Amino acid sequence: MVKRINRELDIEEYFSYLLQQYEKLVYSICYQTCGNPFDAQDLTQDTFLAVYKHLGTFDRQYERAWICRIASNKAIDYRKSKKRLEECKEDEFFTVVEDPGAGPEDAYIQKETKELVLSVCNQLKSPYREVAYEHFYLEKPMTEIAAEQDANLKTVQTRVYRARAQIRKLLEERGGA
Amino acid sequence: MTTELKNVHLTEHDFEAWEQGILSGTQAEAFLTHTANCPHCGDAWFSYMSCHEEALVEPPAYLTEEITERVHQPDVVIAQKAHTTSKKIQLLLYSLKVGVALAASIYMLFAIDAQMFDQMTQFMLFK
Repeated sequence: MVKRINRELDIEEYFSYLLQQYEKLVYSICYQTCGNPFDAQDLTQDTFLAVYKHLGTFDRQYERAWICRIASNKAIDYRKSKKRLEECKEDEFFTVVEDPGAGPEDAYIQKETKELVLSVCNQLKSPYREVAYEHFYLEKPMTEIAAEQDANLKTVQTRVYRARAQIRKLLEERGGA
Repeated sequence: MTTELKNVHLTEHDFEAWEQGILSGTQAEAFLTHTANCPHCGDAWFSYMSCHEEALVEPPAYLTEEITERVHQPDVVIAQKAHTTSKKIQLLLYSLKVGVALAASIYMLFAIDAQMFDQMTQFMLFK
Protein backbone atom coordinates (compact mmCIF):
# COMPACT_ATOMS: atom_id res chain seq x y z
CA MET A 1 0.00 0.00 0.00
CA VAL A 2 2.81 2.40 0.96
CA LYS A 3 4.78 1.44 -2.16
CA ARG A 4 1.78 2.10 -4.39
CA ILE A 5 1.30 5.51 -2.80
CA ASN A 6 4.99 6.33 -3.20
CA ARG A 7 4.83 5.68 -6.94
CA GLU A 8 2.02 8.19 -7.24
CA LEU A 9 3.93 11.01 -5.58
CA ASP A 10 5.82 13.51 -7.70
CA ILE A 11 9.55 13.96 -7.19
CA GLU A 12 9.28 16.79 -4.66
CA GLU A 13 6.71 15.00 -2.53
CA TYR A 14 8.61 11.73 -2.70
CA PHE A 15 11.84 13.45 -1.70
CA SER A 16 10.11 15.08 1.29
CA TYR A 17 8.82 11.66 2.30
CA LEU A 18 12.29 10.09 2.04
CA LEU A 19 13.87 12.94 3.98
CA GLN A 20 11.33 12.65 6.75
CA GLN A 21 11.58 8.86 6.86
CA TYR A 22 15.35 8.39 6.72
CA GLU A 23 17.00 11.60 7.91
CA LYS A 24 17.59 10.32 11.43
CA LEU A 25 18.95 6.98 10.20
CA VAL A 26 21.32 8.59 7.72
CA TYR A 27 22.43 11.21 10.25
CA SER A 28 23.22 8.47 12.78
CA ILE A 29 25.39 6.65 10.23
CA CYS A 30 27.13 9.89 9.31
CA TYR A 31 27.67 10.80 12.96
CA GLN A 32 29.19 7.41 13.67
CA THR A 33 31.44 7.84 10.63
CA CYS A 34 32.54 11.43 11.26
CA GLY A 35 32.62 11.60 15.04
CA ASN A 36 31.39 15.18 15.21
CA PRO A 37 28.02 16.79 14.48
CA PHE A 38 29.29 19.36 11.97
CA ASP A 39 30.80 16.92 9.52
CA ALA A 40 27.85 14.61 10.12
CA GLN A 41 25.46 17.37 9.01
CA ASP A 42 27.49 18.00 5.86
CA LEU A 43 27.67 14.31 5.04
CA THR A 44 23.93 13.89 5.62
CA GLN A 45 23.28 16.81 3.31
CA ASP A 46 25.59 15.31 0.66
CA THR A 47 23.73 12.01 0.93
CA PHE A 48 20.33 13.57 0.39
CA LEU A 49 21.66 15.75 -2.42
CA ALA A 50 22.72 12.56 -4.21
CA VAL A 51 19.30 11.04 -3.43
CA TYR A 52 17.57 14.04 -4.98
CA LYS A 53 19.81 14.09 -8.07
CA HIS A 54 19.12 10.44 -8.84
CA LEU A 55 15.46 10.43 -7.85
CA GLY A 56 14.29 10.89 -11.43
CA THR A 57 15.78 7.55 -12.47
CA PHE A 58 15.05 5.58 -9.29
CA ASP A 59 12.36 2.92 -9.74
CA ARG A 60 11.06 3.49 -6.15
CA GLN A 61 11.52 -0.12 -5.17
CA TYR A 62 13.77 -1.17 -2.29
CA GLU A 63 14.27 2.43 -1.24
CA ARG A 64 15.98 1.49 2.03
CA ALA A 65 18.70 -0.46 0.26
CA TRP A 66 19.09 2.34 -2.29
CA ILE A 67 19.50 5.08 0.31
CA CYS A 68 21.78 2.84 2.37
CA ARG A 69 23.97 2.38 -0.69
CA ILE A 70 24.28 6.13 -1.22
CA ALA A 71 24.94 6.80 2.49
CA SER A 72 27.56 4.04 2.69
CA ASN A 73 29.37 5.31 -0.40
CA LYS A 74 29.41 8.85 0.97
CA ALA A 75 30.77 7.54 4.28
CA ILE A 76 33.49 5.63 2.42
CA ASP A 77 34.46 8.77 0.47
CA TYR A 78 34.60 10.76 3.71
CA ARG A 79 36.87 8.21 5.39
CA LYS A 80 39.18 8.18 2.36
CA SER A 81 39.44 11.97 2.29
CA LYS A 82 40.17 12.05 6.03
CA LYS A 83 42.84 9.41 5.60
CA ARG A 84 44.48 11.47 2.84
CA LEU A 85 44.39 14.53 5.10
CA GLU A 86 45.96 12.64 7.99
CA GLU A 87 48.68 11.25 5.72
CA CYS A 88 49.60 14.79 4.71
CA LYS A 89 50.13 15.68 8.36
CA GLU A 90 52.39 12.74 9.16
CA ASP A 91 55.67 14.65 8.84
CA GLU A 92 55.10 16.77 11.92
CA PHE A 93 57.86 17.46 14.40
CA PHE A 94 55.91 16.37 17.42
CA THR A 95 54.00 13.19 18.01
CA VAL A 96 50.34 13.95 18.15
CA VAL A 97 48.82 12.40 21.24
CA GLU A 98 45.29 11.40 20.50
CA ASP A 99 42.64 12.57 22.88
CA PRO A 100 41.11 9.25 23.96
CA GLY A 101 37.71 10.85 24.32
CA ALA A 102 37.52 12.47 20.93
CA GLY A 103 38.15 9.83 18.28
CA PRO A 104 35.43 8.74 15.88
CA GLU A 105 35.38 5.31 17.48
CA ASP A 106 34.09 6.99 20.63
CA ALA A 107 31.31 8.78 18.78
CA TYR A 108 28.61 6.54 20.14
CA ILE A 109 30.05 6.55 23.62
CA GLN A 110 30.48 10.27 23.63
CA LYS A 111 26.99 11.45 22.92
CA GLU A 112 27.49 14.77 24.64
CA THR A 113 27.34 16.57 21.32
CA LYS A 114 25.74 19.61 22.83
CA GLU A 115 28.74 20.23 25.08
CA LEU A 116 31.09 19.79 22.15
CA VAL A 117 29.07 22.18 20.02
CA LEU A 118 28.94 24.80 22.81
CA SER A 119 32.64 24.62 23.53
CA VAL A 120 33.52 25.00 19.87
CA CYS A 121 31.07 27.87 19.30
CA ASN A 122 32.54 29.76 22.28
CA GLN A 123 35.96 29.69 20.66
CA LEU A 124 34.80 31.74 17.71
CA LYS A 125 35.08 35.50 17.48
CA SER A 126 32.14 37.84 17.27
CA PRO A 127 29.87 38.06 15.21
CA TYR A 128 30.37 34.39 14.29
CA ARG A 129 30.21 33.22 17.91
CA GLU A 130 26.70 34.59 18.39
CA VAL A 131 25.30 33.27 15.14
CA ALA A 132 27.01 29.88 15.67
CA TYR A 133 25.51 29.68 19.17
CA GLU A 134 22.01 30.47 17.87
CA HIS A 135 22.21 28.09 14.92
CA PHE A 136 24.37 25.13 15.99
CA TYR A 137 23.67 25.06 19.73
CA LEU A 138 20.10 26.34 19.96
CA GLU A 139 19.33 24.74 16.56
CA LYS A 140 17.42 27.72 15.25
CA PRO A 141 16.91 27.89 11.49
CA MET A 142 18.68 30.77 9.73
CA THR A 143 15.36 32.35 8.78
CA GLU A 144 14.41 32.60 12.44
CA ILE A 145 17.77 34.11 13.40
CA ALA A 146 17.47 36.69 10.63
CA ALA A 147 13.94 37.60 11.78
CA GLU A 148 14.94 37.92 15.46
CA GLN A 149 18.00 40.02 14.74
CA ASP A 150 16.21 42.00 12.04
CA ALA A 151 19.08 41.14 9.75
CA ASN A 152 19.33 40.22 6.09
CA LEU A 153 18.95 36.45 5.56
CA LYS A 154 21.93 36.39 3.20
CA THR A 155 24.08 38.03 5.88
CA VAL A 156 23.09 35.40 8.42
CA GLN A 157 23.71 32.61 5.90
CA THR A 158 27.18 33.95 5.09
CA ARG A 159 28.04 34.19 8.79
CA VAL A 160 26.81 30.64 9.42
CA TYR A 161 28.86 29.26 6.52
CA ARG A 162 31.97 31.10 7.70
CA ALA A 163 31.37 29.96 11.27
CA ARG A 164 31.07 26.40 9.99
CA ALA A 165 34.37 26.69 8.11
CA GLN A 166 36.09 28.05 11.23
CA ILE A 167 34.61 25.28 13.36
CA ARG A 168 35.84 22.65 10.93
CA LYS A 169 39.33 24.14 11.15
CA LEU A 170 39.18 24.15 14.95
CA LEU A 171 38.11 20.52 15.04
CA GLU A 172 40.92 19.51 12.68
CA GLU A 173 43.46 21.30 14.84
CA ARG A 174 42.00 19.70 17.91
CA GLY A 175 42.16 16.32 16.21
CA GLY A 176 38.55 15.62 16.92
CA ALA A 177 37.39 15.57 13.31
CA MET B 1 34.43 -9.16 12.34
CA THR B 2 32.15 -12.13 12.79
CA THR B 3 31.74 -12.87 9.10
CA GLU B 4 33.74 -12.96 5.88
CA LEU B 5 32.13 -10.07 4.14
CA LYS B 6 32.90 -11.03 0.60
CA ASN B 7 30.78 -14.13 0.39
CA VAL B 8 28.18 -14.02 3.15
CA HIS B 9 25.69 -11.54 4.47
CA LEU B 10 26.18 -9.39 7.55
CA THR B 11 24.71 -10.56 10.84
CA GLU B 12 23.20 -8.79 13.79
CA HIS B 13 26.55 -9.12 15.56
CA ASP B 14 28.12 -7.04 12.79
CA PHE B 15 25.41 -4.39 13.12
CA GLU B 16 25.90 -4.34 16.89
CA ALA B 17 29.66 -3.95 16.45
CA TRP B 18 29.09 -0.97 14.16
CA GLU B 19 26.58 0.52 16.58
CA GLN B 20 29.01 0.22 19.48
CA GLY B 21 31.82 1.74 17.41
CA ILE B 22 34.20 -1.14 18.09
CA LEU B 23 35.16 -1.86 14.48
CA SER B 24 38.69 -1.01 13.45
CA GLY B 25 39.28 1.33 10.51
CA THR B 26 39.72 -1.56 8.08
CA GLN B 27 36.69 -3.40 9.42
CA ALA B 28 34.55 -0.28 9.22
CA GLU B 29 35.56 0.24 5.59
CA ALA B 30 34.80 -3.38 4.77
CA PHE B 31 31.43 -3.03 6.53
CA LEU B 32 30.51 0.11 4.59
CA THR B 33 31.72 -1.36 1.28
CA HIS B 34 29.55 -4.41 1.83
CA THR B 35 26.43 -2.44 2.75
CA ALA B 36 27.00 -0.23 -0.29
CA ASN B 37 27.09 -3.23 -2.63
CA CYS B 38 24.69 -5.70 -1.02
CA PRO B 39 21.04 -4.57 -1.16
CA HIS B 40 20.02 -7.35 1.23
CA CYS B 41 22.45 -6.23 3.92
CA GLY B 42 21.80 -2.55 3.32
CA ASP B 43 18.11 -3.14 3.88
CA ALA B 44 18.80 -5.38 6.90
CA TRP B 45 21.08 -2.75 8.44
CA PHE B 46 18.49 -0.01 8.13
CA SER B 47 15.87 -2.35 9.50
CA TYR B 48 18.13 -3.17 12.47
CA MET B 49 18.75 0.50 13.22
CA SER B 50 15.05 1.30 12.99
CA CYS B 51 14.44 -1.25 15.73
CA HIS B 52 17.15 0.28 17.94
CA GLU B 53 15.89 3.82 18.23
CA GLU B 54 17.86 4.40 21.42
CA ALA B 55 21.11 4.11 19.47
CA LEU B 56 20.10 6.67 16.86
CA VAL B 57 21.39 10.23 17.08
CA GLU B 58 18.86 13.02 16.73
CA PRO B 59 19.83 15.45 13.98
CA PRO B 60 19.63 19.18 14.72
CA ALA B 61 16.22 20.74 14.21
CA TYR B 62 17.37 23.03 11.40
CA LEU B 63 18.87 20.25 9.24
CA THR B 64 15.67 19.30 7.39
CA GLU B 65 15.06 22.88 6.34
CA GLU B 66 18.69 23.29 5.30
CA ILE B 67 18.65 20.17 3.14
CA THR B 68 15.32 21.10 1.55
CA GLU B 69 16.63 24.57 0.75
CA ARG B 70 19.86 23.19 -0.67
CA VAL B 71 18.22 20.74 -3.05
CA HIS B 72 16.10 23.55 -4.51
CA GLN B 73 19.08 25.69 -5.40
CA PRO B 74 19.58 26.09 -9.18
CA ASP B 75 22.77 24.01 -9.48
CA VAL B 76 21.12 20.98 -7.88
CA VAL B 77 17.89 21.29 -9.86
CA ILE B 78 19.87 21.53 -13.09
CA ALA B 79 22.01 18.51 -12.16
CA GLN B 80 18.88 16.51 -11.33
CA LYS B 81 17.20 17.36 -14.62
CA ALA B 82 20.41 16.70 -16.57
CA HIS B 83 20.76 13.28 -14.96
CA THR B 84 17.16 12.36 -15.79
CA THR B 85 17.49 13.71 -19.34
CA SER B 86 20.74 11.88 -20.00
CA LYS B 87 19.06 8.61 -19.00
CA LYS B 88 16.21 9.33 -21.42
CA ILE B 89 18.65 10.15 -24.20
CA GLN B 90 20.55 6.93 -23.51
CA LEU B 91 17.30 5.01 -23.75
CA LEU B 92 16.43 6.80 -26.99
CA LEU B 93 19.83 6.00 -28.53
CA TYR B 94 19.56 2.38 -27.46
CA SER B 95 16.07 2.15 -28.94
CA LEU B 96 17.34 3.66 -32.20
CA LYS B 97 20.15 1.09 -32.36
CA VAL B 98 17.71 -1.76 -31.81
CA GLY B 99 15.34 -0.30 -34.40
CA VAL B 100 18.09 0.00 -37.00
CA ALA B 101 19.25 -3.56 -36.33
CA LEU B 102 15.70 -4.85 -36.67
CA ALA B 103 15.13 -2.93 -39.90
CA ALA B 104 18.40 -4.24 -41.36
CA SER B 105 17.42 -7.82 -40.44
CA ILE B 106 14.02 -7.52 -42.10
CA TYR B 107 15.60 -5.94 -45.17
CA MET B 108 18.11 -8.76 -45.47
CA LEU B 109 15.31 -11.28 -45.05
CA PHE B 110 13.45 -10.05 -48.10
CA ALA B 111 16.18 -8.43 -50.23
CA ILE B 112 18.72 -11.21 -50.30
CA ASP B 113 17.70 -14.38 -52.11
CA ALA B 114 18.73 -17.87 -51.01
CA GLN B 115 21.53 -18.29 -53.57
CA MET B 116 23.18 -14.98 -52.67
CA PHE B 117 22.88 -15.90 -48.97
CA ASP B 118 24.67 -19.23 -49.55
CA GLN B 119 27.50 -17.43 -51.40
CA MET B 120 27.86 -14.92 -48.60
CA THR B 121 27.91 -17.67 -45.97
CA GLN B 122 30.60 -19.64 -47.79
CA PHE B 123 32.66 -16.51 -48.24
CA MET B 124 32.52 -15.73 -44.53
CA LEU B 125 33.32 -19.33 -43.56
CA PHE B 126 36.42 -19.54 -45.71
CA LYS B 127 37.63 -16.08 -44.87
